Amino acid sequence: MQEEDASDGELLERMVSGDGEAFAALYRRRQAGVYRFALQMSGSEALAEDVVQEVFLTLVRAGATYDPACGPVTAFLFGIARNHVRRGIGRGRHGGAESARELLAADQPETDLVRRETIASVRAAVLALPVRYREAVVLCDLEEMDCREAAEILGCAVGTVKSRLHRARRMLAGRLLPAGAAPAVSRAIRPARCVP
Amino acid sequence: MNCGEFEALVGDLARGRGPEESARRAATAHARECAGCASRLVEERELAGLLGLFAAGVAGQSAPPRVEAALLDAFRRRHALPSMRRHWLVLPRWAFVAAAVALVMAAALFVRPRPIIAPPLVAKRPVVAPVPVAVAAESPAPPAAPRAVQARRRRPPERQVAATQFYPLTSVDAGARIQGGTIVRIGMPPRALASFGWPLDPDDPGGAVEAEVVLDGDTGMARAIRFVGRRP
Repeated sequence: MQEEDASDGELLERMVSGDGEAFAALYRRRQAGVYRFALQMSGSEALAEDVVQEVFLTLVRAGATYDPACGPVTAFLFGIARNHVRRGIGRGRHGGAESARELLAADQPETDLVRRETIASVRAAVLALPVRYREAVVLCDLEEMDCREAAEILGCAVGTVKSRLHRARRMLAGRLLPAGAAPAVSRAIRPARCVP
Repeated sequence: MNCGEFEALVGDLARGRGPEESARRAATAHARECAGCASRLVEERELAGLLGLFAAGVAGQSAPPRVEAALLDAFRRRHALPSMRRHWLVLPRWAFVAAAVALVMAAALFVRPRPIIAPPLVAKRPVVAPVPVAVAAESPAPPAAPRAVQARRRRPPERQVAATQFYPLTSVDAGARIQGGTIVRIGMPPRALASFGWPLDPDDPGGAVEAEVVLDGDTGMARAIRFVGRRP
């Protein structure tokens, strides 16, 4: 079977039995998402690189423990990544707004100054969110997963993800949007109560 | 639709996903009538635009190639191990048996009493016939002394005694060689020498005569004796 046609679960199964090509295919398919998730969560390229390495090393060591009944392979991978990101952030391994600005400037020299400044502001606002809200924003708004997928990764109910996402968006709007709009609306809205 | 219901849908509505068509139409109609909810929809669309800009900024990023190389190397090493482990698991089964057999054989070699290669015993006369004593000190030295004899020669002077040759003790199978046996050292009264045809010395100071007796390894019977000295 061609690696391109195989599902994540099939690749993982072949990988566990020692198929290096399957492992390489699974890595190439999923590493970018894991890397971006770690980068957007931490703002640190070094941590993101480490997280990718740890996630797939864990897959090499403990891929046989994956249980399809517990969710898709992506949830398994992002769940591992999430643990490593949280650990890295807890140890102070995260970049700030300055590192985000430098990162964008280095990667996209053609980007105009205003655009770069805007992206850096959004990045800084995302990084300023509490981790549990940041996870919801990164998964649902940046990686464009639906709430069900995010809930599988975060290990919580879909309603919890929606609640955290709503709360996070409100925080971001308060930081990023002109002062007039958000407070007027926020008075009319009772913020959802999120369980940490 | 009221404002609460609108708020639950506004995020997905601003991003163009989620609500069904009927819910979308109802939310849009509510935003047309409610200024606050209309403002909220605008705000949410702006925020979605900003987040989209940010997401696009990192869309092409991925882990550097060195990570893939390191992981593939780790994978190869990981899956090279089981075959080695299999060999380790198989080897001991016979290796332990072979080692155990070798240990038993080695133990048997080292623990077992060293067989005595006794000189050929040929009975030329009846057992009790007197035989002239050939004192070892007076007889010519053997061309190659056995190790046991060499060790005996290194003993302290008081233990060095003149030994006679071996005398057969039985005529049964007298022509047969002893294939193996044990030498035991005994003490016997001097008068017992008389049974071997030796003359008794009336001035004998007493004590015991030391002798070495060859015991047949198969039957345990005494086959030969020699006298090696006196015990005070």
